[in-house]
Amino acid sequence: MSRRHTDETEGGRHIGRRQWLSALGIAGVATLAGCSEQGGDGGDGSDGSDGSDGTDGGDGDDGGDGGDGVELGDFPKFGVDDLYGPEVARNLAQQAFEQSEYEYGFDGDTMVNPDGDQVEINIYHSAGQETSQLTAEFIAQELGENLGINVVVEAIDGTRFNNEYWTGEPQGGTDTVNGEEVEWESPTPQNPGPRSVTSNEPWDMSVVFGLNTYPLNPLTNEVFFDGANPFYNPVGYYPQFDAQALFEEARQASSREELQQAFVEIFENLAREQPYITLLFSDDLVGYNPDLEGPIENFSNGWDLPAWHFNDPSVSGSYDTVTSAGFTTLNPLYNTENGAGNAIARALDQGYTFDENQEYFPLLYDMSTEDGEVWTFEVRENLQFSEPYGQVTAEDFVYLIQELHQSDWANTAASSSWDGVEVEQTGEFEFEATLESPNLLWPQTYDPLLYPIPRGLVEPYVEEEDVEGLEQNEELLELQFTGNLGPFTLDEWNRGSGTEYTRNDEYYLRDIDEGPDLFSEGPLFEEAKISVVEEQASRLGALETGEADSAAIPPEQYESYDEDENVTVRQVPTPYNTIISVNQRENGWNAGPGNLFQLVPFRQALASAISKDSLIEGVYRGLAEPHFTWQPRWSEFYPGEE
Amino acid sequence: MGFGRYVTARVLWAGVVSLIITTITFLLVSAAPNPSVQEAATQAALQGGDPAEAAERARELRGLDQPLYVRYMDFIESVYTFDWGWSRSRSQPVTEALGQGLYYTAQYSVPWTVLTVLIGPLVGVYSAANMYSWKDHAATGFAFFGYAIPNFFFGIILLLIFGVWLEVIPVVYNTDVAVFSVQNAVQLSIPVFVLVTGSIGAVMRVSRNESAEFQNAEFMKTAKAKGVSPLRAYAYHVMRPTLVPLSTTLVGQLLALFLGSSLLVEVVFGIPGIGRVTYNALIAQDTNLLLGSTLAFTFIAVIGNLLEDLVFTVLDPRISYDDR
Repeated sequence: MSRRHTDETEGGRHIGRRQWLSALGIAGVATLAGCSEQGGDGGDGSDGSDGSDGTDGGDGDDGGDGGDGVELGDFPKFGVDDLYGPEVARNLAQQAFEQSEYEYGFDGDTMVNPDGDQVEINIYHSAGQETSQLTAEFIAQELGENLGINVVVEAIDGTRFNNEYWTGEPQGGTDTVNGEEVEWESPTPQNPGPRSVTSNEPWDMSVVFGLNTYPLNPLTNEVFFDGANPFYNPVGYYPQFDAQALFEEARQASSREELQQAFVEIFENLAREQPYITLLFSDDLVGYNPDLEGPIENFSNGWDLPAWHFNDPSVSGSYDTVTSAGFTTLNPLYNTENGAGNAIARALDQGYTFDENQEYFPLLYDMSTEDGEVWTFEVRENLQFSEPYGQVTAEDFVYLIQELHQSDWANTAASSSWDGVEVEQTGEFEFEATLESPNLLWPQTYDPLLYPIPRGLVEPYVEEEDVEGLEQNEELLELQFTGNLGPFTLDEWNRGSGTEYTRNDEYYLRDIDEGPDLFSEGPLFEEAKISVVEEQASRLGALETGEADSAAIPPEQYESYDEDENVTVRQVPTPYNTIISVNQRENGWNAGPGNLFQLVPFRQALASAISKDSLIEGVYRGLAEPHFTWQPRWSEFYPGEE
Repeated sequence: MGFGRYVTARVLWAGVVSLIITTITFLLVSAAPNPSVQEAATQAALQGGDPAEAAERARELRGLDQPLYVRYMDFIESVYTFDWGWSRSRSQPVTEALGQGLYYTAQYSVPWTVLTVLIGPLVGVYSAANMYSWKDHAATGFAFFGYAIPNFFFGIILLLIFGVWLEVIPVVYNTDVAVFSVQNAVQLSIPVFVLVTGSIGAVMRVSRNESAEFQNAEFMKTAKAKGVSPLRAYAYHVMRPTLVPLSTTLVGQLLALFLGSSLLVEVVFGIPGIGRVTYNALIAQDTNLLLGSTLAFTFIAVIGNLLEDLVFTVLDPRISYDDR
């Protein structure tokens, strides 16, 4: 599931959260290269694809564009209906000119700088990615027609853009934001300091990266918007509203309602201020074997894999998928890759998942809390490791957290998730975790998500503090301890060609009370297989001939596969947005003195000069939804329509 | 110098060459920053520790604080004892990774090499025998087509035709089937065909031109005059001298093709061979594995050259051991 911040357009390149953490250091280049393609089950999806095309009206305010101001309402939707067009855009731009200390203006249809020359700015897109390029060209055309700006479209390699333009040398410093002194205490490459601290190369606008909007756990968005000095702020956005107070409110919330209130306010403000110019959410396209029952066009697609089946619901066949890259490791303690995560999941369940309504669904353990601070974990009593490790108990989990995740030597993939959490065993099948500060959405952060690892297996390494031994342990690497804990058992991991599994007859999920009825017989495949096929044409070929039951479809081939009777294409929504990043730092805006991008009305003007509907129809073939604030429409924290 | 001494000298020289290359590799690697040390430092910085201290600890752990000559001796020892370390990008020992890669590569490259070496000169001599006839043009056209069309592109087209449309070969390479089985032969037929057509062109052209020279030579006239059958004349009297200059280029050429074109063909057909192992090690900055495959290719090249030198003397008895 998604725990990543950035995404290079078209859902092609996702950067893992931990990889992204390590990008703090020298490994930046490598992480960008280490992207994963959304293959296999299409694990990330949502239920939002109702084809909304921005017909939600303009907030009931029709007193639109007359006179000085533009009526925006609480939740403005730029780029559709009343808030789209040259008039609105120019009106908003005019407001920005008045706020600016320099004399920008319109000369006829053309926007001119204080010297009287036409405003000329550039926009970068990912080199070699058709959709990215078309998006940039469309933006250039709209800004030219509706605002009289000359936009120059340029291609750039994603890694180069990240290193030279998107990130900078962390320097820190202080600045006055909304009349208050703000200090950059712990600068990062993605927020190296106040607006005066910049990347190596100047740039104006870019559609190279999309970002994660974290619809399940919007609190995570504080990395982008918690004041002027959050963790991740490459564009140098200073909120004009009290973002820090609102995020604090959300953190302190003790009920779902309070939480919702705080977030709705945050997202209304973000819709108004347009820190990044929000454009759209595009879907992942996954092709399936038409005989396969189970895939859904939902954010949680794949959560109920044990109930998937071919034709009639009986155990038959082999569920075969393809992936574009081999797995670095299948050791659950050290894996940070999405693809390998899927490969592990075939043989080993994690603590919980989210069902098609995005609600917590207990797998190995149930989690409950009163106040969001103390969480109780109840471990199921029918869980067995392979011999000689016996039954899974609370002790295994507590030992795993305390002796590995919280140790200073093991550096497990989950170590940052358990910082500052106090864990205590309270019964044979029960343990408690106390958080530093309450968080009602703790499960949604995926932080308390654990793999079951037998204490007996890791104990010798803990005593020796032997990281290498732990990383290279064959039982962990080959998943030989998984007992009844996964739908399948791993038969073979061929490093070059993938993994093969057979059905686990003992799967514990069959004896649980919750979930679909079919769980009682799951999984409904005799075998499963994940093949590494690096060439996209070969992956698609395998899907067509039925050798693979699922594969990602590139957007430009959507139509041909949609018509193909051998393939059923599903549009699976993602939390990644498509945005224009506008550089509000000192090396942004290279069209004259000052930086108009820093002014809210100017960003609003840009947003209202670009038709979201035309962009979606023209470039995305209708396979996307308009994006107004930092949440998709199906999120429960999306501001109301009234 | 006799044959025995010649071979001994060549083998010893091959050993020296491999040692020199290994030494250069060691110097390059020790001059480059070690990614695992940097990683340790980054980890420490992230978790609020002291990066310098962590880097020092990582260096000690990996024996990098030892003097250069000690590390060199260790390195040489582990290279020649096949203790090549752990591949981080595949989570298995480097030798195992290379072994697996070679296992799949050998399955298509052995038939590929054999067919190239057999068919190339045959077609060349055939062309020369029928010079400027339609048969020559057809054979030349075939050779140039294979030489000119990029392997990966040709591969994708054939995969589309035979895999997706006709469904006679599987699209996803199956590693489960036995090496000597019909299924394996079927799934390898297209990759081998692509590679053979790609490499046959050069061999065919060289042998055509070389044999054109010999077919009008004095000894051919003599042979014909004595009533030797055309088959025997070509096989014995033209083919053999033709192969001498050919064998000098053949091994080097095939080795170069090995890495380059086999990578693309392996990617297209999904064969988990040595080309992909090397390429992915490079992309993932897996130093141990990269080093291992460099050494493996070095050894293959050194042994290839050695074989070439030996084959030489067998093919052409006129070549003396003393001059070289």
